[in-house]
Amino acid sequence: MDRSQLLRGVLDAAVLATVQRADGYGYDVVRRLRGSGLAEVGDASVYGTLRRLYRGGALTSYVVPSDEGPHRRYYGITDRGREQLGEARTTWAEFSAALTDLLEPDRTEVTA
Amino acid sequence: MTSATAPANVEAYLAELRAELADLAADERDDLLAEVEASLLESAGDEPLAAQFGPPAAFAADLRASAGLPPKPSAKPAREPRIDWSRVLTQTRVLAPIWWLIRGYVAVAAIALLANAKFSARQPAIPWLGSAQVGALAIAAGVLISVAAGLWMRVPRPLSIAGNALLALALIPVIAHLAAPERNPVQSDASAVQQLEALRYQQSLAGLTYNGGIVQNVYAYDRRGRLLHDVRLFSAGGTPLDVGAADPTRREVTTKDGPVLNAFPIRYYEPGTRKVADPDAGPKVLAPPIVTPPLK
Repeated sequence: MDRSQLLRGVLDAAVLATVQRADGYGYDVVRRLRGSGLAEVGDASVYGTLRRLYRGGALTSYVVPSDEGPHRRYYGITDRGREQLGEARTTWAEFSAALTDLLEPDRTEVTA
Repeated sequence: MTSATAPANVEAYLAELRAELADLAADERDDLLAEVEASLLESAGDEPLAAQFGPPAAFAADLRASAGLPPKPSAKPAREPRIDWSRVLTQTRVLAPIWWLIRGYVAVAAIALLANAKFSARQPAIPWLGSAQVGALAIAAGVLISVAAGLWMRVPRPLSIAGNALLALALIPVIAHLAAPERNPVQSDASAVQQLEALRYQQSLAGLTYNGGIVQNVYAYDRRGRLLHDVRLFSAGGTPLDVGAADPTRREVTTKDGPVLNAFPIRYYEPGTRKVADPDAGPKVLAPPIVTPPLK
């Protein structure tokens, strides 16, 4: 299975979840996603996703001055973003349960 | 390869990204690039940026797709909206010799059209100047002069433009002629003969011919050289050798079965009368008496 292809459909949820844990700036979010095990996450797609979620009102943003290099634009989740993440969580739970059933019919319980 | 951490390298990468995103609204593009710049500066490792992040074009495509922006227009962004006419002219100049050939012909053909000259029937492109060969020669001369003028003649630019424009205009009637040559009277030795033959054939269908010529009347003379009247002619098959049709001025010859058209010589009434002015009119021939003994 092509993991980057799979990622495309769930990147919104992954980014929202990451930012929900703690506000973050672009590269910070990339690094944390990769740290979560999504090694194939692309820099460009995370930056684009952040901008889109921000434009759609799921994220808020603020600039933090930095002593070294340019200012960092941090993103935080909004109420709308939390709502969107909740929907994504439900969708993913149903989807992953269905696929797990299909792929591993003997398994009775899905462990997180 | 320069070090990936060098800001100059990041700047170059950003510049390429900017070009890739040139079609986006300025604020949209600037927001995206600001996001990317900070991250690039921080994340850039020792390897070249293109190795770490992929080629700028692919990076930009990822940015667009994930940001929900339209893909890069396939057509080149209008970086050079102004056409460089001087360059176009220079490149078109290569085609000039072709135009010289065309205008040479157009000049000859246009003059022929203006002079209402006929055109060869077989080669409608060639004016008929006494013969098609002369016409072809005239064309060759026109083309030669035109090419020579194009190569060596230096005329003031406005004059040259005017002349060429005039010949370009003359293209229209010439092309119209070439497209429909039959509009002009077609003439050539061959076609004239053909036309005449066709005419003769049609007429022969309606009457008598002799060696291809129309026989309009027949005059019979007896042994003694006297003109006979109302001689009826039949073919070997018994078909009456009719000539023409009954017309009001033609003297009507009637049998008990009705009018006949094979009685010769055909005579015509004087206008408005039922009288033939000269019943013995005939060709001015000398028909001396026949000295061969009669058959019976």
